[in-house]
Amino acid sequence: MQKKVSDCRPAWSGLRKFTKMFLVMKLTIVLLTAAILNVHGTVVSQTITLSGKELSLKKIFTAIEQQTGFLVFTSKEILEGTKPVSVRVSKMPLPDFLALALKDQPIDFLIEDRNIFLSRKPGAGLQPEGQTDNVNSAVTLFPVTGQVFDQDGVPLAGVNITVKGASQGVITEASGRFTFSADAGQTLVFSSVQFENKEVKINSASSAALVRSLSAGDDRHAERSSVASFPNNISIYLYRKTDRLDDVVVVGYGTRRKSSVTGSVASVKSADLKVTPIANLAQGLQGRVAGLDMRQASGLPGGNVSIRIRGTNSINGSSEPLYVIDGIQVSAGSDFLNTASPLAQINPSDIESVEILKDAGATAVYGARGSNGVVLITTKRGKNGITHVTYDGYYGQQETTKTMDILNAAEFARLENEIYSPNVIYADPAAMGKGIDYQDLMFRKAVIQSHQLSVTGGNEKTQVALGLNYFNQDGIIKKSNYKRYALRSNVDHTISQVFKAGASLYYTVNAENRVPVADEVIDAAWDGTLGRMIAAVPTLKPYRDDGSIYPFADQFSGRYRENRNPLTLLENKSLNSTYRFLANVYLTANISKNLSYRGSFNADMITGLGVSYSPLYILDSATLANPLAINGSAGNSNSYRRTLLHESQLNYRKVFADKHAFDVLAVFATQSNVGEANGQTGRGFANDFTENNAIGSAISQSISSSKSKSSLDSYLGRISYAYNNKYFVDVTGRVDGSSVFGENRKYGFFPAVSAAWRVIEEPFVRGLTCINDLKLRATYGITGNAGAIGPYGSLATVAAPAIVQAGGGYYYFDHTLQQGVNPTKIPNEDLRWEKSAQLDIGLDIALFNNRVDIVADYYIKRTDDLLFTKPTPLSSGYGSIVGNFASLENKGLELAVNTKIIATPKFRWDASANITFNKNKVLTLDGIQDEIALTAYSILKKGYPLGVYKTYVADGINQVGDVILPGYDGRLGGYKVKDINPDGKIDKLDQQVTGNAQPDYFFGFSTSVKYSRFDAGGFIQGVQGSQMYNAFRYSFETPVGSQNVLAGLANRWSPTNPTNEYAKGFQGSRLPVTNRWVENNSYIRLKNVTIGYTVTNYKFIKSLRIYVSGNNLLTITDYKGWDPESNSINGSKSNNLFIDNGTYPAAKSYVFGIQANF
Amino acid sequence: MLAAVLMAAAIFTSCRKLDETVYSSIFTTNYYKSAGDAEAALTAAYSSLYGLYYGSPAILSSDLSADQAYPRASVGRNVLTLFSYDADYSIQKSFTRADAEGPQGVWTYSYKGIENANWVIEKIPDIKMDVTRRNQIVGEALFLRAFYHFTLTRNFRDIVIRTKPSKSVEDVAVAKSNQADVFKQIFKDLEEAIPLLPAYSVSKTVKGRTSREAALALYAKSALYAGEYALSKAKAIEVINSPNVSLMANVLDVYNVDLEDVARAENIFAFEGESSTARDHYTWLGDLMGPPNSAGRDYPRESFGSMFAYMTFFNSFNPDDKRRLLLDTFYYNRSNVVVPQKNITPITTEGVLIKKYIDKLSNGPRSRSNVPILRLADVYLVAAEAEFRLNGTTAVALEFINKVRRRAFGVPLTAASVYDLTTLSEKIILQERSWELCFEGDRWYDLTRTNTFLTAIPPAVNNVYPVRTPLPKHRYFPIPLDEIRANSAIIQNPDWQ
Repeated sequence: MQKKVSDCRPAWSGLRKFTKMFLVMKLTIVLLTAAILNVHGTVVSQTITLSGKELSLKKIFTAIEQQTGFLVFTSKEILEGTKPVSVRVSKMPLPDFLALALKDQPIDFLIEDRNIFLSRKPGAGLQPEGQTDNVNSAVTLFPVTGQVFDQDGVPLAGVNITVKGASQGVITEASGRFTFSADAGQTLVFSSVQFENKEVKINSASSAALVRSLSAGDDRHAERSSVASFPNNISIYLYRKTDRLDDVVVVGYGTRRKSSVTGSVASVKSADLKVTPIANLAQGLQGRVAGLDMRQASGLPGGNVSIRIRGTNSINGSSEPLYVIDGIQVSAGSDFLNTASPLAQINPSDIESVEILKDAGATAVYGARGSNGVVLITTKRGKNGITHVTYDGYYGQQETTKTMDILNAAEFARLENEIYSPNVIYADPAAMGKGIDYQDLMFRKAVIQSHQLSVTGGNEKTQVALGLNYFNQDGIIKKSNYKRYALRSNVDHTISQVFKAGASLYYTVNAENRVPVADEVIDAAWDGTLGRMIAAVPTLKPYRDDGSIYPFADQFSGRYRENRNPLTLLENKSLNSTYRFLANVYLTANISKNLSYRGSFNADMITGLGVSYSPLYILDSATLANPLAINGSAGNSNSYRRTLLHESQLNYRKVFADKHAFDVLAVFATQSNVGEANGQTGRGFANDFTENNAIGSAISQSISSSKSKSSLDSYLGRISYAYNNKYFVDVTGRVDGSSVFGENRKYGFFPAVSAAWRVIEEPFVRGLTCINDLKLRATYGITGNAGAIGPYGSLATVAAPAIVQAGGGYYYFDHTLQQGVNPTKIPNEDLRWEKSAQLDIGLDIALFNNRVDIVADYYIKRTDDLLFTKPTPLSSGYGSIVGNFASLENKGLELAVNTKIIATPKFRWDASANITFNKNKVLTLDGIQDEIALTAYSILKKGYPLGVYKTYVADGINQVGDVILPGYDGRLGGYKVKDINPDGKIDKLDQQVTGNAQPDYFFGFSTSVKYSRFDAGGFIQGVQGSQMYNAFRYSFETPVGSQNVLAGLANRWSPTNPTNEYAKGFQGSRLPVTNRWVENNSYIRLKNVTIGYTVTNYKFIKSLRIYVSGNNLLTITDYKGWDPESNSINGSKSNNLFIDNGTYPAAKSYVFGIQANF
Repeated sequence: MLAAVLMAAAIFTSCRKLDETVYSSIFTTNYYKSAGDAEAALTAAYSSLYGLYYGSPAILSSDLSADQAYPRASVGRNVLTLFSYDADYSIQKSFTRADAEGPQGVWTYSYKGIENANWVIEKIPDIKMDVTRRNQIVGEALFLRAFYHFTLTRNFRDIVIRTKPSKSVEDVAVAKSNQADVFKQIFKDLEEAIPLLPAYSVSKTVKGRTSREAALALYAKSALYAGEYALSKAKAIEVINSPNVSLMANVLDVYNVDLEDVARAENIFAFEGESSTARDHYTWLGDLMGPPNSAGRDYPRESFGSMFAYMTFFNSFNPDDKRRLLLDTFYYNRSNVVVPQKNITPITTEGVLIKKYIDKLSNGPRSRSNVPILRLADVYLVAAEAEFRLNGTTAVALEFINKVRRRAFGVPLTAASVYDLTTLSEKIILQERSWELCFEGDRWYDLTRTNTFLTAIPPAVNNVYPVRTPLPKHRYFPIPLDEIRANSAIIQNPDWQ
């Protein structure tokens, strides 16, 4: 069955506006390509043709960059004192040419990837001012021993050590150790390609050495450092060059030097993620990136997290970002499988870096899926050099941060007597005593552990990285558990000078054992595990004398049969496993010195298996004896999703006239998604032996299956231009065509332009020595959000609805179920992506010898064509139609500051802080109404943020003599509602906006201190100015009878206790939804404190760090619920609302860990 | 070079159609092709009955407004009793009960049923299948469309008539028609349906399906509402004369869940309650009307004590009237101890329990009780009223109404009895209907179609609802504001503007 949806003409006709421009762009690329190929014939390897006399090295390197497309990493300092050379070569291979040009120069070179790194030759170091060369013919040489480490204390092999001015030296062993002969007063130079050079002056027996970084313009590491004893056993720390502006930052479809990035990109490196033990990557990112609002909505092990980059951008669609793992695009939300966020499934120890693309300039390359921001995850790869074997593991214990105070059995009995008066339920309430608090029976101290083993290594041709991970977290509620097994393998192989190939393979197994949680409907708190714990009848027994679970229905003459012994929840089996295979295979070809090709083939394959079983032994005797009941239920569900993606990209890089650098990218991508699912459920088992494993034996069975497919074709072009390393402009355009869009809207075009000005390069700033970098950025672009449109979303489906409330479906004829099928929606041929236009203005500053980095961004983002479920007239037979109707705006300010307060090898103190202010506003809704009710407590309203609470206003309690107004089921001793428009009755007009779920600002602060072998770090995160509907408290301040309530109710209203706080008990009543339960959920949370100790070079261990860490140690909040971060609305589903019906509470944990490098 | 060319070629030539291949979903364009499709589409048209009778908006909209029953004041049920609802049903909405229990549910589910019936009526005639069955299917859909329109108009008066399915967003907004035109459409649908439908048979009619007699009964009843008394009488007599229907000898057996299949002789068309756990398909009425906290031995296993009968209504029965046994002023709790009237409910000492929808063996809330929609006793009373309105108190009219009375008092149906009425008036007929059809979602519409509700309601009070004063505008419910807001073509009925 195929529905013909479109042909070429109508698809393109909708694109007239940009087709022309796009064609010109494409044509330019092709012509450029052809031109270059013509000029240089069939030359494909890197050779140099150059003639000239007395050419400066700078000129030589420019020629290399132009002719080969390689980047030459150099600096003023390296070039200092070099001589001009005269050459006359034709098609000389690049390495030979470099060797020739640098023959008599104090410079070494290394070619890696498409980069050329230069360093001063050993002994060719500069002489720091005021120092004299100490090469002395009459010195007495002593053996100097020591060890070289990187900044993290990992020993470094292969580091060159020479006496300054001399050419001969030694190289450190695998353990980083070295032995060298030197004399007092001499200066030793330590050099290694990826590290900054370091000089150590041996100051005779004073046991002190002057350590000086070689890069004069970047002398932030210049400090005094004592050496334990001369001449033996000195420790030298080298800093990675990646701390500099030449840092490579991963951007969409490529990498950039940090200095040339024009968009708003935040980068989190593995070193930041490694310091503290985190269960998943989400925890590692929380609070560390400005503009990223992340909250752990549920503490359920493996639980989902919700991430918003620069505010909530969608009403009914998804606001979750796009995740790209090693080039594999992984969507979150609207998944075929109800899997956890990809962030939960990736082992954090495998990650090399995470880049958060925030503005349109950065995300436009992801077109229709870029508007919620993009999270690029790059996993670790092998490196040329020695083999590293690391073990990273921790073990700890978690416990709940909170328990609720509830009525004890005697108080509960008194309440029951009051509610059911004149009946006397408990003749002597006081005799009931304290009774049972099920929180004591169901919470536990739970173990969390993780073990990670990784091996990296390689040679010049082949590099390999392997990782193995086992993670096991028991939940703090009994039975709940999450396990992850992960295997990762990255391989890169250089086939020839032209070709390189590689693969990233990632396999994870996730297994979750769940306990039920309440959904987001008000008054549903009773259904969750936490709610059951509170609601449980404290006067009843949890266990029979034989230790088995005692159903409430079998006690007290079945009076509490509608309550449920919460222990039975723990007996239900509910296990979800996910098997995910992510694969990326690539081939790159350096077609000419300027042009390269990269083709990649990606696959994301997920298999999910969910099993459940509800046993007979937890049922009460009446239910078991009911001849009509079909007891014991089981379910198996299988799902499979496959995403295949091919991307072909061409990259052209060339520098013209020494100043004009072009980087042109063209990408074609095609993707397909297939999802399949099937499930079986059965009810009615004779016994519990086979559980869900023999559903065929159930009395009543049902099966289901489904399959869907979608495809996406994309065309992308990007031209980057840089002038003199000062001005940068990027122009990007992407066309996305997706099968899930409506018939008339198959293709969308997403352009962006971004520019940066490195003010620091201007002469008028040069004089300000305290400023090391100053860059202004501005971007504007249009991106899309297609994340919420599932396959067939625009078509008129007919289906067999499972729930009658959704509009019918089945009926019983002759006492037999007949499945009906009816149309479920009205087609929408114009269904399309949500469109965001975003302006970003940013400022990057580095101050005080790069010790302070500041990144500030202002953004304004307008999203139109929001996917919106617009009400249709009920008389049409449908409640709503999904279309692109509404608009909203997010604007905000982000500020991130990183400082290195102290930075000596022995003593380092870093601190980082970020803060984000975001304002969110609905601009239009369906075009007809300005206000639409979302739930009983919330609305959408033009001019207001998404997700404002609209409720009645609480006004204490109806006291004796008060007039009780009609309209809200008011009663004496019950909560009173304010008659806002004083018309003598309570109705909708008396409801007011009483809160907003969107925070005013959120922030993170982290600091770490390292002194000698000790390190310590702390991390604080907070959200301010938001509210949450505490529906849990609403439910458990409702004294309806037969269910326990919060302890405050002991002091409830009575004629003699005219309180305005807690209502009198009343059978079966529900409370009016007022602002009493709209609570401020602002919080400041001490997320982590870690203390570590590192030893190096102990036997076969290169380095070993042991640490203890405490998570979630302290929370400052006025919020009265379990956790201010919790949200009962599933993260990928909700965009705007926060309601707490008692999600799985966050745990406090203490962890002991080891990080070892062999 | 090759790659560049390939890529350029890809860019220039690929403008893929991006068709959607469907697997497990079906679309309206390729559905409605087989006999199986026809049956499933028709089943969906029936399924709105569950929405109407589960919560149940079709019963509660009437019976909480009228003078027989009242609710415990929770989740906004009392807005009907107190006439304090607004056009948005905002109180019921604030307790998420607007669709499940109130007039808005009547609106929503009826129109969903109409939409589903419209697809059947439009698409099924083209299906190649057994012609007899195909005609029946169309006839059933026409009946359902008429039934849903009837349900709507007696609740809201002027409503939207929909006879075409919604195929695009342009189709959704339709203006309302006045009630006379609604009845015309109902009659038209029923006239088309009757020849297509098979005659009723207790043993052969598929339980739950409609029949010629059901269509005739609906015709008779809607004609009575429309004031077409001759038409009403004629159709009612056609039903009464059908050899396939008869009154149950014992009125209590009509409501005995174990005899529900036997009772189909009288219960011509009903909502089918089932206790199966496979798919919920039961009515909540038994749960609402039983003692609080599932405490009753003889009541469903789950009951809430949410709805009771007025003591005035209980007292209106002749003590010999067996129909009063469907009410109770005490009950046995699960320990076999009698709970006296004063302890039935904390809200009043005069609680009266309603026993029409009891399934003692209910599976939790799921009970097997059917909810009568078109019952032969009702048809007798329609016939009596139509005859009375045409010709006054005639022997014919008396015989129709007395059949129902004799059955209620347990005397032979065909012989005159001391309980027989000898004179008729509108009030007497409506009173008889009240006793016979109480809690079956009928009373309020009798009071509104005769415009007698303004005088009938104020005396129906107790200490829970000491004052009840409906206004003229309460004769019909307001069209839900959700409809008004989304439908550019509709305006609110004048009383509620």
